[in-house]
Amino acid sequence: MTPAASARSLTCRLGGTLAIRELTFDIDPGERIALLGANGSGKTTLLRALAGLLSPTVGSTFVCGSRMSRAEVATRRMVGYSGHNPHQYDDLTVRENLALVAATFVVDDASDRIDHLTHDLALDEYGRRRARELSRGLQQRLALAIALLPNPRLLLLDEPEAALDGATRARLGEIIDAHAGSAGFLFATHDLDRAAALAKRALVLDRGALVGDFEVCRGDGRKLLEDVAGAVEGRSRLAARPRNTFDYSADLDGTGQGTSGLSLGDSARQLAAIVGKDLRLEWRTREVVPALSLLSVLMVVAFSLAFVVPAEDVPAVAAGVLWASLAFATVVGGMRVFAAERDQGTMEALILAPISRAGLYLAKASVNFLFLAAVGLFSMVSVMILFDVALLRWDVAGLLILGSAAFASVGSLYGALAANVRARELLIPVLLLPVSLPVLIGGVAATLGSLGVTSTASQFPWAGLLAAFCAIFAGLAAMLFEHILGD
Amino acid sequence: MLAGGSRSIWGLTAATFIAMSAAIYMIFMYAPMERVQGNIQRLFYAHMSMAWIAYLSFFMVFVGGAIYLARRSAKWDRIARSAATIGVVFTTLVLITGCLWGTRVWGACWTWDARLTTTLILWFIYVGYLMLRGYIQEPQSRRRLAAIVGIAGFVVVPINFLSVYWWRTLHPAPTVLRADGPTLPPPMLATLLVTVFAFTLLYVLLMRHQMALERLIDEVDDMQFQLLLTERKL
Repeated sequence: MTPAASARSLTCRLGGTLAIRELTFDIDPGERIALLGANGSGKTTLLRALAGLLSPTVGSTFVCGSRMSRAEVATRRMVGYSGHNPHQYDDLTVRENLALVAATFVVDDASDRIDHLTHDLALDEYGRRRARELSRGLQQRLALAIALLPNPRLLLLDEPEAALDGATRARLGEIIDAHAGSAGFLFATHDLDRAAALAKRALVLDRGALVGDFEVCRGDGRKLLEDVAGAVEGRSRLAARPRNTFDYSADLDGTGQGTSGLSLGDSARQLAAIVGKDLRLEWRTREVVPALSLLSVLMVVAFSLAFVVPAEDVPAVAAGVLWASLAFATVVGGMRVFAAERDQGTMEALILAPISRAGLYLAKASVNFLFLAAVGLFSMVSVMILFDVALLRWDVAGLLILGSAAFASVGSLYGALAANVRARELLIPVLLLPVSLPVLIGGVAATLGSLGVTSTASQFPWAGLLAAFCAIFAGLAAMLFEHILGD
Repeated sequence: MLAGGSRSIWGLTAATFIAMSAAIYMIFMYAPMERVQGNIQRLFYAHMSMAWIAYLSFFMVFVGGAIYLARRSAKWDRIARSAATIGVVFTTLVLITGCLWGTRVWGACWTWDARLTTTLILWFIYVGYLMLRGYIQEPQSRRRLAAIVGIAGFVVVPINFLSVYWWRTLHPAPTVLRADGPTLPPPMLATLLVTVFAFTLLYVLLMRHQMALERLIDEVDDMQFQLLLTERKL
């Protein structure tokens, strides 16, 4: 029988610390395992590595026979995970959050499953409430619902009962049986009574090493406490012994899933769900477009104050100011679409979602494009008014839309890249602005052609440069995006 | 093995020294003085050779990054980051020599000419590449993200090369790589080829030294990792 999950010599280094070291074990389908250990023993790191959120420094992880590193879409589709950061959007309602997960995981009978889960987790009366309005315990229930919704074959929960009330805790085993009964289930906890109630087996970690792997005496928390203490102290009876582990030397492709199992229509719906989610969040929070639009107008004002422009040069300067304001909006906004995910802790949800990395890039770049196009049109009107230049023309609007696409293609790539880097606010302008300058140069030159400052025909090669730049960066980013999000 | 490697370094150093000496001799003694610009034109040989090294370096950053992402071999990351360091140094020298030359010929150290501007953009891109590496502590993430920046940044290199064709510029058009053949007089062409060859040898030598240095840095990092493993086992 192929295990639901396996670790082989799994070692993860976090900065200068070895968080887990040389872990080898299997989790069988339907097996419930408690992951125990003191704070800092490596429980969360192990769960994150099995989920595919963390690349092993040494060793491998497998889910249903497929190697988790460079995870296939199909592999990610089999994992349900709930960590310390809830994978929910604060400004979406409970049902919208669940519908998003159903769309990205391509869940069959999504509406029925959402109804059942919200009913079983007593969330049905909160369906129209935004996640930010829920109590900590209700948010924990929503996080459980999100992990269970895809009908996972491997369920990984990090302290799932931490904020739950007594009644929900008591029903947790029953709920998991109902929604992921055949899944391998690994959960980290410090509550040994609950561990004894839920699990048949325990893995004990101590300073990153697996020191205990034994059967749990059902319902006997006191006995489990003694066993864990014995394992940590290294008493031979309880120390981790090598079990018979599945042989992965056989052809992995034969046991793995191979293909994503998603049709083109499924992929299109996944992307539409991501784009729709971002637009809905923007509509509700009004976080990005108004701020960027205001920034672009401020740029126009600053430029007009900074330079004394002779009357005959005004059209040329207006074109430059228009594109410079858009370039600066790209630098700020390009980072925002990914930084917002990172700040909310929902970036993990995107990484775990069974969406092709190229598709994810396309969705985020599309959102960036829509935001920048809106800001660009706003800039166009403000430059037209403040510089008294007839910019409100179809050809200039077309160039701005093309330029917004080019800026979005490069901005989304660098925004994703820098989202997880320290001091990203300082770094992103340094990285993004130089690469974006060809768009600025091309956009200004093409606009000068449109305005008749240079020959009208000269705008076409520059528009071509914008289109080529957009295509090159979009293609490059689609190929490289899986590397940005890690293995 | 060490002796062989040492011998080859010494051989390469000697060859670079001889080639550089020959190049310097040819620049100042063999190549004729350009009638309009005078002796300042002799900067051209070093200026163009250094620009060639910068292009070569950035190409190596691109190749190193692409192969690193495909194979995840630290060696290719070392090649990429060594090349980036050398590329930034030589781009800086290109900008400085261009400035010296421009001051005499154009009467200005800097002009917003297409070639100059795109060269400055390239300098910013690869300084950013080196900065990024300093901002990421985890080695694998650092290598991965730097590789992506190295690959994406290379998109501007062809724009820089083609800028003299796309824009009307003050910067001279290519005199060697032309469809209708080189336009330089033979003594100047010979001097240029020898100088380019000498700088290419210098580049190979610098790459070897820089890579050896980078290998030591990686080895220290690996030793720290092994130490962590050992400490945990004790």
